Amino acid sequence: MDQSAESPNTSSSGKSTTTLNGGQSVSKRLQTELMQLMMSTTPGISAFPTDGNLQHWTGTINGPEGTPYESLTFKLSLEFPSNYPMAPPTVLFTTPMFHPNVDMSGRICLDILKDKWSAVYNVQSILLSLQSLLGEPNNKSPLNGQAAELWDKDPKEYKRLLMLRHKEAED
Amino acid sequence: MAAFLSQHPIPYPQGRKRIFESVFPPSASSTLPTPLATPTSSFVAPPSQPSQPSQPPQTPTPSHGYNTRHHPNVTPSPAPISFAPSPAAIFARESRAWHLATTYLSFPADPFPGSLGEYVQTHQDPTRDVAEAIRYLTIHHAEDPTPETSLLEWYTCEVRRHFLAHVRPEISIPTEYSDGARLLEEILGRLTTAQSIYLFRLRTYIVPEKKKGRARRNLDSWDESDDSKVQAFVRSLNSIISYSLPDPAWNKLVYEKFLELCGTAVGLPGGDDGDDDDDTVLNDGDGAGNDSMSGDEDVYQGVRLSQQSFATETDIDGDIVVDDDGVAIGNPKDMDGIDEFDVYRQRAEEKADEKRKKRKEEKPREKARKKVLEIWAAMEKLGVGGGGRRGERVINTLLTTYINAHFAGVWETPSKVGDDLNRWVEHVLGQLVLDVLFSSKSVNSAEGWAARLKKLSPRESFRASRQSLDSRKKGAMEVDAGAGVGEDDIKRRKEDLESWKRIAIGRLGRLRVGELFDIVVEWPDSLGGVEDLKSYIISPQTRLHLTTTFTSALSTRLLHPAAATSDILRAYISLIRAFTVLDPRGVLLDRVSRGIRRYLRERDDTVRVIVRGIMSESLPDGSEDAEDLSELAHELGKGIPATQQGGGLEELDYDDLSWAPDPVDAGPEFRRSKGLDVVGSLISLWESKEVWTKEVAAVLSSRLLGSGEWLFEKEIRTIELLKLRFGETTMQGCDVMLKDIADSKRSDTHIRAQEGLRMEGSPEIHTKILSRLFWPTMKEDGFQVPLEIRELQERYERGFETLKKKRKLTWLQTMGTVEVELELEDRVVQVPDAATWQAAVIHQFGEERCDKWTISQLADNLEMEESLVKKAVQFWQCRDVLKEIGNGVYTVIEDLEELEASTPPKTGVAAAEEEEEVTDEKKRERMVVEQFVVGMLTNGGAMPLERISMMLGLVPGGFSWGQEELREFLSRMKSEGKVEYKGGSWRIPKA
Repeated sequence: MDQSAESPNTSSSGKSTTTLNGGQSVSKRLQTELMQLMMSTTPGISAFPTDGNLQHWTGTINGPEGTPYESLTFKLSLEFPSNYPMAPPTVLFTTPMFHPNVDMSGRICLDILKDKWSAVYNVQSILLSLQSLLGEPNNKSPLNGQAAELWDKDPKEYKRLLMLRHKEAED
Repeated sequence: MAAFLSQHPIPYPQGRKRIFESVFPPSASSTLPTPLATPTSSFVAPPSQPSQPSQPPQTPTPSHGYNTRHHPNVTPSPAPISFAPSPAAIFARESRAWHLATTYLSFPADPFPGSLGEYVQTHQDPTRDVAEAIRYLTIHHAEDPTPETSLLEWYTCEVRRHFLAHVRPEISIPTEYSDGARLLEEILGRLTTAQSIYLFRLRTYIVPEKKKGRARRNLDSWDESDDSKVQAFVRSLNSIISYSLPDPAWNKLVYEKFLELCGTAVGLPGGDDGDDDDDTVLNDGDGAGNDSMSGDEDVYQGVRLSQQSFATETDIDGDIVVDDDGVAIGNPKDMDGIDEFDVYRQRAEEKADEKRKKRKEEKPREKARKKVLEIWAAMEKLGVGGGGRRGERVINTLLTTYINAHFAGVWETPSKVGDDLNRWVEHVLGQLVLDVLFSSKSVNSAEGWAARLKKLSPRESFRASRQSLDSRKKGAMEVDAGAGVGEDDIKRRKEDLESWKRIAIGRLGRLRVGELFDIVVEWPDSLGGVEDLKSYIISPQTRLHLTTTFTSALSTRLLHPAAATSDILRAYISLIRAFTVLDPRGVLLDRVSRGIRRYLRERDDTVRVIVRGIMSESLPDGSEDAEDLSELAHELGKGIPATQQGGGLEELDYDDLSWAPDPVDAGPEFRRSKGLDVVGSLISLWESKEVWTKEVAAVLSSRLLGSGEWLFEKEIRTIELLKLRFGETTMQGCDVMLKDIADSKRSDTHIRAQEGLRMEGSPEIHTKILSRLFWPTMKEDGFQVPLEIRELQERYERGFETLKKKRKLTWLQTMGTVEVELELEDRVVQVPDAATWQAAVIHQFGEERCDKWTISQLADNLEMEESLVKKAVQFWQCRDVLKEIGNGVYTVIEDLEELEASTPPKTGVAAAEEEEEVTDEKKRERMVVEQFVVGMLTNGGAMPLERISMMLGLVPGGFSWGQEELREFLSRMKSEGKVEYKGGSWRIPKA
């Protein structure tokens, strides 16, 4: 899957050409990723384009076992920019979330979605990273201070607040 | 003198009355003055001429013989009575005369005899004084007719009364009748007789001829007579006749009969006679017309003199449908019943001799034509012609029937049908109508001409068949207004012919539209039919009619599960071709092909069949797909029509001087003329190109791998042609495949030379090295190849790895062929193209010292799937190499004579293989779809079937399942508990 090599990163050429080729290569890449994801069937993670729009996906993560998130499912929205995979997708939790690195509107603080992004990452790796983030939060740079504080001190209270906040997505 | 004579008393008035009453019962009008009421009056009719001595009134003239010349010649007195008798005397005289006359002229209360002749024979001539009384009355009141005293008026009423009371019951039409022809003729005969008798008496007694010396009195020359009284009488009589005819039944009868006869006359039944007969009719048309006209005259003029009634005449001619040889001429279906037919035949035989003398060599069509004219003339005379409507209907049906009988299924090209039809309308139908129009004796009279013209005007008939009664009346009025004489008429006749032709073309078009499906299927042998249609589809209505009819024909006859995909595709290809000829702009094609395209998209083997058709040159000979649609390969070779290459920028082509806007009836999604591009039309069935490339790659790979050749020129050509359609990048995979094969040849030689693989005594090994990513996925169920092969493979691998750094070979052990030579005790079995796994299995039997194996043992030993082993064993069983010796144990047949004992199943290996291949592919596809459905429902929540189907478009390689298939698949998933169905939507069950 080295489609990335083909994707044009020549911003010097005409703008229209860039978007055109970029658009084509994005959907091609995303289609390949989708196929890969579908075929690999990693347990606990899943994603699929929303409404047939390849650049907007909905993801689902099952909370990892042995964490407060066990047996909960979380929905995410993944928005792919037109220069993907050169730029990371915008990922948000759509399910209300209580987590040190997730703010109240679902925004996520994760390095690989920001400055550590690389074109070798894909939807599957993003979802796996997020799944592990649930179990191992980075409490040094919390978006949700309360959660960061309670994570170590009071797991019970943490779980209570989490369950208070959590709401299963309606079909 | 005269005064004296007039004073003569009439003797025995009472006695006379009794005598009269005994013979003629008092009539309806007997309330008029009678001798009883005026007993004292005396009456003597004035003498006709003083010089002619009147006979004594006491002597009645019992003239039993019928003398036609005498009565009319009783000339009326030239002078009115110039005396001045007393008013009372005049009144009395008149009353007496009236009484005598009316008593005599009243009709008896019986029906009339069969013919005028019989009537004349039996009826009694008036006595002298009756005659005089009539003469007296007519002379007296000729000038001032008042209803009370006019004898003519009274006679009219009397005739009416008699007709209604006695004739009308005889002309009723039973609800069911078997022989319409005879019935019609009988009715017409009765009516004619009645009319003749009424007229005869009118002529003889009441309105005697004024002219003397006519050699032959012509009874039916009423319309030539300038006597307005007679005409008025006839009009009144005719109106009562037509009123009396039972309406729907009569119309139906006449219509049927006319149709039958006209049909015969214009050559309807036999479809095989065609041009020759038309020409004959055309040539002797004039002569025949004249013949029949003179024949008519004979018939009707002869009514009186030759004692030959219409009815008897028809009896003789009634068997018109029987030839002299007793061969049926008419279409038996047109006959009302076989029984009648037999009767006819019998009678025909009885009279055969007579007829042979009597008849000239008439053709049945001529006879029918004559018959039509006879009946028409009789009806005309009776005033029951029925006006234009009857004629219209007959012409209308004739046209349709003729066209259906002659042109159905006649699609030769170039089409002569249109010309034939025009000629037929002009010469045959037109001639018939012309005969009807002109055969009447009223031809000289402009009025009669116009009236007849009106009756058969196709313009009226055209309106009648399409518009309301009101507009029909209006049409008739127009015709009336336009009715003229001379040139106008001729011009109008031409116009009529033209409009008949137009109607005929329309009918032909309808016929062709009905046949269109067959025309399309028969293409290109049915080009003529399409040519005929071209002249039909000139208005939006007819085009709409064509598309709707054809679409429904398609869906009932083709688009159903019983039709094979290849048949549907072939029909579609013919359809494209036929409609391109029919309508080069492509609007009709666009409209009719929507249904069939939608249907084709739902079939899951459409792509496969099309691609195999396109690549039929690459398929092995004898494969069924190769024959099916091999024309597609040819089509592909034609390249893309120039018109299409403009692509989407076509709209902007300002240099296109032949540009025209889309036709008005083009649909919203109408795409401009695609030209005749069959392959293009098929390819555009699916938007996605992957659907096609996948199938093309599959066919290509089986071809490349299945052949020992190294040169694939045909394939290269096909792929290059497909590149024109799909673009370079889409076909890249196929390019790589072709290149792999070409490269393999070189590297194979190289590696073999390098590794020294060409050794005596060891098997040769050749490889085809495939770039895995670009080839269709292949089964990789490896197995343990025999040891010596394994060694060779390892050496080969080494060679490859030195040749291509950092690349690795993965062996597809099941692919490939082996040349096997088995040396058995009594024979050598050679199989040049056994599969590797088949070879491995048989190798097992030879290698170890054990020659008895069960399937599972073999599978374990070879690490091969049991199903594959089973197939291999079957393969060798079919070649009489292996046999089962019980309990699933197989052994080699060393000696063929052993074979007698066992009966090897030689069936179904190929079929099993094919099935396996399909299910493998299908299995993979199902797995993908299942994953996608699960992913979709997990993330997107519950979805209805339509949405799932739409979203599955994301599946790489395209998604070609129909909704039914998907529904079935989802149901299966549901039964496995993977999804659930709730409230119209599918979803993932909650844990």
